[in-house]
Amino acid sequence: MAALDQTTGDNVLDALLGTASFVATVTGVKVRLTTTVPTATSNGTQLSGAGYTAGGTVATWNAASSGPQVATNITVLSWTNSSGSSWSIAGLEIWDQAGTPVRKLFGSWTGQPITVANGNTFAVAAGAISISGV
Amino acid sequence: MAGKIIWASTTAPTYAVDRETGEVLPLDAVCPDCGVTFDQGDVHECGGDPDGSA
Repeated sequence: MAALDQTTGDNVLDALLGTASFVATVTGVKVRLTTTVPTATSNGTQLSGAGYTAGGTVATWNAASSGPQVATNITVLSWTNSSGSSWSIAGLEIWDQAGTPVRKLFGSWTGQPITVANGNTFAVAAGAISISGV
Repeated sequence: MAGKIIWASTTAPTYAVDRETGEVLPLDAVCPDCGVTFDQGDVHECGGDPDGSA
């Protein structure tokens, strides 16, 4: 999954080359669910409705491993749809907890869009979010 | 509590299990004609697309 947000990617490159300072992540990064597929330059449409809290859910992460670099989630995530209608979930985004949150990464779920009927739970096991190739 | 847990991943296939028994179940689907949610793969008859796959 997951690619760098365009602005974040530019900042990483600039920081590596010494042309800018790295904009540090405000920790406690959150996973947001989206109903559209995000791109590097365009946020997805965040899911809304009972059972999902706007802004996302905090997750913790394993340190990246080498060759190629991969980082995965430690936290098991789940949201139970109690909105009264079905959810259609396409993507995810990882945002930090800055005063104005900054999007760091984005991606899509395998087999998206994924329908989640009212009363059912959308869950993500530990390790199921794989961030690579950044 | 009845219902499914739908396990999603960015790399592996998405699948659903029964919340109580752990049995693997079909994923949810929504009929594009009438909007009813049903088990993916089931026959759904509303006068429109029969299996909701359109």
